[in-house]
Amino acid sequence: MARDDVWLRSLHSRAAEDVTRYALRRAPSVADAEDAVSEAFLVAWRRREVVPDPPEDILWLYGVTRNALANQSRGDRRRIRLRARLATEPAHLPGPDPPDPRVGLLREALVQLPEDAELLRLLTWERLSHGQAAEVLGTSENAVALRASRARRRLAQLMTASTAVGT
Amino acid sequence: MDDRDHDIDALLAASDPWPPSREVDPTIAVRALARAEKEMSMTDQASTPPRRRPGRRGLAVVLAVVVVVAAAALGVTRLGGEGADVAGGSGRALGSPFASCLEFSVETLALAPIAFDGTVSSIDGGRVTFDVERWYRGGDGDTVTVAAQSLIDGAPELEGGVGFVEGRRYLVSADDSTGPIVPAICGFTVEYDEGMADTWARAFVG
Repeated sequence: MARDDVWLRSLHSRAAEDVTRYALRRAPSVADAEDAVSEAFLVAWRRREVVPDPPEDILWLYGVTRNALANQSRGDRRRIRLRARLATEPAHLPGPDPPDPRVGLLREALVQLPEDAELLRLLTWERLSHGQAAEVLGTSENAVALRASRARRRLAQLMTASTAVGT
Repeated sequence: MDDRDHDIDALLAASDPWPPSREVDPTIAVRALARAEKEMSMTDQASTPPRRRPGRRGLAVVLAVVVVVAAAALGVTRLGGEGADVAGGSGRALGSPFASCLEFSVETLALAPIAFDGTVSSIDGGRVTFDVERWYRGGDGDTVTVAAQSLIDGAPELEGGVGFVEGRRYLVSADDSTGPIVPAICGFTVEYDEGMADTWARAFVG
């Protein structure tokens, strides 16, 4: 398919919901999410020759959206505090009440694992495979598997320690 | 993964602020695309490939986009003092830097999964209800309600918006791929007249 406006709209038709959900999950506001999604499709257009074919194109858009969200934070000094939240606590957009009180402990623990938090979110929120998450993060599948395993163990340790301190 | 890993993953999933069960407002992505397209038109004109007439598959895609974009463009506006509830734009051709309307054709119209002839019986927020005179495709009820989202500041201006007015009769084609039924614009939803009704009958024959 030629990389023209019809292609872009086809990409949007297939990917918009997933990419928007990805952004909403991580952005400090709906407006920031919309900015990131807009940026992602603009970048897709400008770099249309390197956008992978389906289904990997959505993974590519996740990566661009992730960068756009990070750039929003870097580019605006007023958002310094929000950046910290973006990296550690993306759930500040109103969401459903967590059914398990341990979710709060988990979120606190994730603060201490900023590098691996995004990986775990890709695996559990976007339900990506290790290989797909590796594409988004620009790393290898083996590295993802290793990091994910290690991060889960570390999270469990941190939550246990937090529970012990709280008792 | 052992049981502890599964437990952690379950907690991570439970911490999802936007789980699959939580609807994503489709107008966010529509506005985002329109903004991106606007910037493209300003900065990328030289390298933008010339528009070409899309193939049949392309027509379906474009029709779907026309319908999706209409979700943002067909706002419901209560016009104070006018004595009528009007959903959508003024009916004039609205300019759009990139998303210009696909030229109307019976072939494209025939791709619509939903099409009917109906009279607006009520307008409530972003929902417009029709008493159906005739279903061409996609339904059999006496009434049908379609989504017409409010215009939002910064929303794209589009060609071919149509204003819904209570008591008036329209030929509506629509898509339901995004959940709610959203009328297509750009001449694919029009106020009723017998000539257009003949066109629609030809489009959906059989």
